[in-house]
Amino acid sequence: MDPFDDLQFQRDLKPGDEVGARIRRACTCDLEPARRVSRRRRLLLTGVVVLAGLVVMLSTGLQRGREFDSGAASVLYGALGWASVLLVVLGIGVARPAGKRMGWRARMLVATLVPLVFFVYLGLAAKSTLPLSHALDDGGTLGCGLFSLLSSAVVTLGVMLPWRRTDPFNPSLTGALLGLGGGLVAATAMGVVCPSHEGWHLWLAHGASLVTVVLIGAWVGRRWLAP
Amino acid sequence: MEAYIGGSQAAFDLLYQRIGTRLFGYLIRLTHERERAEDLLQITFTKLHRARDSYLRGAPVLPWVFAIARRAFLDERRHVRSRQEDLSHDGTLPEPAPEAAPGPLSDALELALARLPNNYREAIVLTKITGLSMVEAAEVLGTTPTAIKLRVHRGYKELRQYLEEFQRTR
Repeated sequence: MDPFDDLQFQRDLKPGDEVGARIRRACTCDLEPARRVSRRRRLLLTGVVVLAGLVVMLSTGLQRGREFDSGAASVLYGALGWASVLLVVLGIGVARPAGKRMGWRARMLVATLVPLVFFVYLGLAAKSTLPLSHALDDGGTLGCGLFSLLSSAVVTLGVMLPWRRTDPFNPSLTGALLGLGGGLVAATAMGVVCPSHEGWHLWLAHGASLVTVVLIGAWVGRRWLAP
Repeated sequence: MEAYIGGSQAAFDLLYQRIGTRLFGYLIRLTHERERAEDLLQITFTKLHRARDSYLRGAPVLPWVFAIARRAFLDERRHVRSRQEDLSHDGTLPEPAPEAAPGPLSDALELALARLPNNYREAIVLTKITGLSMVEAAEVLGTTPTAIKLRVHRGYKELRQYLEEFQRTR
């Protein structure tokens, strides 16, 4: 005999009738046909938010009068590259339904590795590296960082809205990936509009804001994305 | 589930009838307390009700509901841990209730199950007692079916050791 067959569970382990009645009352008192939003529509909304974020950030930044001289091609390639990474990250984050998504470890790896690669990329994109104190004293670093952080946070929250209460499995991780998506929107736009090529400026203003928004995404995701 | 989302009360009753007891069995093994398990059952169903519009058409219901229950348990445990401990009047921590002496084999098995590490116990409870498939249990726990098989296997080994000890001391 399988000893599991004789467990309490099979014998008499049932919730009380009163509990059942309370649950029934709570779940049927306002029972109306629920308005469902299809996954395709949620994906579409996500795409619209990302595109709107990109357009607004690019137009806001370019109004400040950035001049493209010799490096226009490399700026464009960089932006296209990170825009592609952004699509991949969002695809891994939410393209498949919750529970059918890529494994936890693989998604965690993406959420960790992409910011690391971004930091390396910023290091390679830097044309000069002045002392750290110079970047800290420079008002441009703070302004650029705040603009980057705020706009990516807004995009992240906008991207999360269509996915509210859809992921009981790994809401923090999905939130982190959506945060990474929002951060990459800012990274793509800032790569075009920010004229600075100084190493510490790039790491502090662009890189640190990406990491911060990933952490914000994980924190908010836990609260918003879980049912 | 589809009919429940469509607004049918009878469908909800059927859903509760089918999964209520299984869910309660799972929750009571996570909490080891009847009252807490009943509270969590209510929370789970309330969350299920609120999130019913985001349920994916045609998706298996059990992993979805069990994942909601597990998250409700984890949230509640975190909340309890962050609260201050209740002290008795003389300022000391209350004594935990003494562990009941094992009676028949099933009670010994319950005790042994309660002593297992969390991840082994959850894998065994979900697959062996609640009746979820390896794939469904993997979805609930956010891991792979292979990892679940491994946890169940290792959990069994530990259970066997506990039960052999129990047989010797009888």
